Amino acid sequence: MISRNDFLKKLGLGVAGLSVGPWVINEILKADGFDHDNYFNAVAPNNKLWLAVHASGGWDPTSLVDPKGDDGTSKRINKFAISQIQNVGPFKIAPNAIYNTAGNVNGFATGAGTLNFDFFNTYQNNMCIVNGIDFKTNSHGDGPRYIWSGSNRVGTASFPAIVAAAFAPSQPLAFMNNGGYAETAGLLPASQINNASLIQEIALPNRVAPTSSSNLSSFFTTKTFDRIKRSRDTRHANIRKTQLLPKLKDAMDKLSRSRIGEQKLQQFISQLTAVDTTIASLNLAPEYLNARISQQFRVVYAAYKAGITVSATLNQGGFDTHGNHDNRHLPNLDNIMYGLNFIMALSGAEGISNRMSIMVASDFGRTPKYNAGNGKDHWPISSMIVLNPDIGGPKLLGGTDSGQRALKYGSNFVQDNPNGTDTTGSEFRITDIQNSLRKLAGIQTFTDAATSQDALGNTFDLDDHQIKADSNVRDNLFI
Amino acid sequence: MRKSYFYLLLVAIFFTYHCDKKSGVIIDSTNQADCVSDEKYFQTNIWNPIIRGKGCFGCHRENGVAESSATVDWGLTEDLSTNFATLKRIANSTTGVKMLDGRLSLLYKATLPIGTNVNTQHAGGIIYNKTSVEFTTMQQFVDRTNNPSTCTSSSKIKDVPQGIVLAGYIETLQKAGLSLIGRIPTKVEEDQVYESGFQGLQKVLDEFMNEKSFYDRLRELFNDLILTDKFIFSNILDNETFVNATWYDNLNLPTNSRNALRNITRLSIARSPVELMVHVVKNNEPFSEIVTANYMMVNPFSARSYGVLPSITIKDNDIPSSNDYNQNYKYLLDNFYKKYNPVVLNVNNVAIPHAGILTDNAFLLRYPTTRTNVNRHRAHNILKIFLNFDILKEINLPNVDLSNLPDVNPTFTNPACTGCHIIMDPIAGLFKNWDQNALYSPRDWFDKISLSSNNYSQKMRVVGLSEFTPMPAGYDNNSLQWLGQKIKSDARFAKSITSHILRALTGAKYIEPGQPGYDYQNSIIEKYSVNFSKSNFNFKNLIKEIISGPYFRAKNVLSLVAVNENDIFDIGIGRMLTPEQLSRKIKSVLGQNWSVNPWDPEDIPYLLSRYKLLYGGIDSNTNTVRVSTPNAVMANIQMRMATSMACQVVAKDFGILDKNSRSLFTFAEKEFIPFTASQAVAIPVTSLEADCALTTPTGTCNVMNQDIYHGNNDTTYSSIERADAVLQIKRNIQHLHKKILGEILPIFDAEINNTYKLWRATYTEYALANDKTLDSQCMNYNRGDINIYSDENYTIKAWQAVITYLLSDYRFVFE
Repeated sequence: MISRNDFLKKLGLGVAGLSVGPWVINEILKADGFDHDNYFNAVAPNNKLWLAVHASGGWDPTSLVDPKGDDGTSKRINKFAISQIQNVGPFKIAPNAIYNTAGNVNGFATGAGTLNFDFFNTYQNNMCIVNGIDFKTNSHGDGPRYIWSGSNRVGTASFPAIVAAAFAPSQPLAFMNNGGYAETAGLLPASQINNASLIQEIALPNRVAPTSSSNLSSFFTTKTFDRIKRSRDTRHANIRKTQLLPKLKDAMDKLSRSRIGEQKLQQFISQLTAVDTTIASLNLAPEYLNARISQQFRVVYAAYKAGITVSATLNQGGFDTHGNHDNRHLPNLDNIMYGLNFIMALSGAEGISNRMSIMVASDFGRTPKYNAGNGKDHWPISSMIVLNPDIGGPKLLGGTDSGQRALKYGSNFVQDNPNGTDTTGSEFRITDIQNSLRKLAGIQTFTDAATSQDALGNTFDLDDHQIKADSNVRDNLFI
Repeated sequence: MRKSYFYLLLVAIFFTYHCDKKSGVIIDSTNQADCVSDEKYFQTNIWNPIIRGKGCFGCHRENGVAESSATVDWGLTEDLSTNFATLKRIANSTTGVKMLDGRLSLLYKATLPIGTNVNTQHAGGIIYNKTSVEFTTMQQFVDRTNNPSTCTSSSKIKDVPQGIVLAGYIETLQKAGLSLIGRIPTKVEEDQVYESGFQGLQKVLDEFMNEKSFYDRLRELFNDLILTDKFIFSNILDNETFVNATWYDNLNLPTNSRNALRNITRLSIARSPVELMVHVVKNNEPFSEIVTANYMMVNPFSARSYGVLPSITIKDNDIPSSNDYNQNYKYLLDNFYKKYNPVVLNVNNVAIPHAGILTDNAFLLRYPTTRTNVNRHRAHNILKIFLNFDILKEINLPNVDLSNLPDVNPTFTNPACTGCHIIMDPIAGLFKNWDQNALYSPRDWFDKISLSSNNYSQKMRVVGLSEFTPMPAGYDNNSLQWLGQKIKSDARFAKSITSHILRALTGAKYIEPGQPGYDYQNSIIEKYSVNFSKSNFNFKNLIKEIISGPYFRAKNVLSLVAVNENDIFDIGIGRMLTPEQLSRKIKSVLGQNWSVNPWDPEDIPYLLSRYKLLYGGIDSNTNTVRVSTPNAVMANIQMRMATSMACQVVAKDFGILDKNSRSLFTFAEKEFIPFTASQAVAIPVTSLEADCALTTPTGTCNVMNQDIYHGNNDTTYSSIERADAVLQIKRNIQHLHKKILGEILPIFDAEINNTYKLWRATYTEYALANDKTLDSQCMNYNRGDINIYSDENYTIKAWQAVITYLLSDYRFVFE
């Protein structure tokens, strides 16, 4: 029997092809003691909640984790003073903006008590920041796909989808999509829940009034309801046996898989209530509660606690600020920070913040200067924040020069000659990031090609999602 | 012959020749050889993985920066046969630049470092190294050109792949009815097709395409393409230019009148480009008019915002003043909204040079631009939507550091940038008269920008369809009209529209060249698009061709026949219905909406409101791609719909006394029972639910024979079951299979028996428990002929179970 480690290696080289069979994965994981039926309670090292936070539109790392400050020239990169940049461990962190009553930036905060400094101070020991990542693109169409999948090919599966497919592919909400790059390449369905209260209505399809606490009647007895579903599934299986067109077979299989988790949504509903109770006890200010990614996380977290979710994308838009950059961009960065604080506060209150694995990135970066409209245009050099207790932070990797160009680093991440004359190293690349994330998750790339069969007899190639990279690729950024 | 094959063959032949006598089964037992031809090797191993996958196509393409490099003419196109010939020619060329061991540039060039020395460098830098898989693969290709394989590829692709079982014409009609107009065909329509076969099908499809609901479906299809519904709740007109943009604010109306008027005006302006497409189809104009029409569409509401006077207007005293917002809105929608008419806009005494949807306000704002983007976003979408070319798919990212480019203007000079910019910048330039606010100015927008910053016009490429098809003189003030004409005459336009409609109607996937299914899909799209073009872009002909073809009609493949897996890879529909389609199907099949107030025909269905996004729908803004893969949430929505609707419709239908007036129960009465409750006591429930018939067609049960009733002369049914009642129940089940699932099954079919078993087991359970309760939602009162408050015969629940079973079936929620 294949061991879990071997299996995970294989997952790393692909997790699956276009028609991965969740049953096979379930059985293998179960056989190795991985309680797949409840991902949250699984006794395994990798039952973290994987969150890909996307700053949609192309964020400005110089206003957060790679600050330059105002050099006093007409080509200044930032409008805050260089002296306002604060050292947090190895990190340099930009100050938060102060806004006037009209909501426009009216200066920058200094010292403790500010959102940015406090967050990085508090969580630096679980954190890695990679600056100077070369995205190779200025295109909104390419950037999100590249950073979250490691490949620039259209249709490549995103990292959070791969992690979900690796650990709990048939859980009903294994991968939740809130925007950003969420391609699944057929590995598993992505679920998008824009209104959690609606889930309560549909989680109990046999209840006449599912949201009523007084009317508990059902359309059918449990026995009849089960009989209907059993009859439906038997008919489905019979028709499927005689269906030979690949597309129709695939469609029928996908519907079967989606039905596996029909009843598990009920667990999610009860967790949502429990999570709301915890949130209320935190007495957080409205900025924390109302941040877009906070609201998305509330739903994701309840599903994770219910054991039915492995990963999710969280998304905050509004970063494509070609005009009026500071006034439009910085409030959105604040929202990201409020949201990250919310995530850590909520999970921390329940003693499981060490199970949060958070990655924050964007389409690309923004130009190292303001344009005529006081905006900043697209720039291919950007940053990523990774928050995970296995990292052994604080860890700062990569960097940029005064013109926001990526610096090169040799082995052991030692920077090349700062004058730029030594070119034996290379800048940090997205393939480095993605290989390292796979290693962090325990699903590192593997070089053997392999095929397997799912429960329905479909053969699939596990090699499809391997990161194609040259031999110099780094995979040890995070562990 | 294996048993299952035998049954499959029998069933296929039965349905093809008995149920629908005019369709055919295509059987061809020709074996496919394993031997790989050179062309096939090129398609599978060279074209997609290397030429496109490694980015060669970005530069070495027709009109690309490296179309002709050194002594080698490349000029790759989208035609793989031509490209195969081109690469063979390069590989065999004796005049090409030779490298190292004397091999030709095709193999070694891509291993050289960036530079301009043709012998030692490659302008595109290192693409692969000599130890890579790509190098070995390319080496094999070069070897093959020196020693050609004797294997041959099938050059001609059949219209219908061998072994495919097509839906018969009547079944096709049913699918088309649900797909195009959201209803099942009438008996008269079915008879027409039964009598006249293919011709009858074409005739009824023509009739379908005159129905109002067809144009509602088109509005969805077209919006999926251009996504302008993003603005249906926004005021997108520039208030300074269009001073009457919010004309409804000046009428001192009560809030609910004003809000209704505001929202329908916003909808009307946002829908203008979609309504232009609808107008073109409805009036049988060439579909190319969507990019050439020298007019735009306004209705009475948008006309007042734009300040134009169409033939039909809304006067102040036409505006309803009810306190009920919904009532006001509905009145306006029903009486005025669809009265769109073409007009030529005149803004500030300047006649707008319309070019169909290219110059439409909503379209231009949906694909916005900035001072630094200078219309490239618009150009990218013109290529993608109308010219079948998605730059993001076709051209790989260059492997260069964009932050360290030495060039002053890299989009002009650096190969890392020119691969894309040479394609999109000329088209971007054609939008020069249309600014960020979608406002027209005869003055060049680039010049306007240059007044305040850099001289952008000097940084942009020549304006035209491409660098090699520049815009001629005389179009400076109406360049998009020139673009519209060029799009119309470009073969890619027909292909682009054909691809979109094929995918929208059949769920055909985008397949990359060289991948399984590509050859067949491409041949079909090619054929349909040529016919579309030849028909002077007759859109209805295109719809009929798709509906009549294998992509729409394929339902299975015969296992006994050797099939070409690549040909059948993507055909057939097999797609989950969109929320809009499922909603229409529910109403058509069951006669009412699934909504908060199902008795109100105007009530907005759940699937178009609260569950729309959860069920994979789009909002044209942040959710722009329909989710077609079902997830657990969707599965639960399907099940909830099935239980709720079954509850609502069973007692309602039995509340009508005349069986001929009913929709669902045209054979059974609620009093029809196979045995009484006291008789049922003697039957173990477990036996009633035995699955014998599900495992083998002739399976037996411990207590009762599964083949309960085979016809009038067959009495092999259980001693306690009344044959007459069983027959009527089964006939009704047969009717429901056809009505709900579109399945035409004989009375003795195993599926009918299985459904009957579900009915019987449910009936028995409730009868034994003497459970006659019905929830109020499942009762019938104040409708039909009789009120039904309880389940006196235990059959309401049994029929609810059957309806739930059928509504949650794959064949109901998928197409």
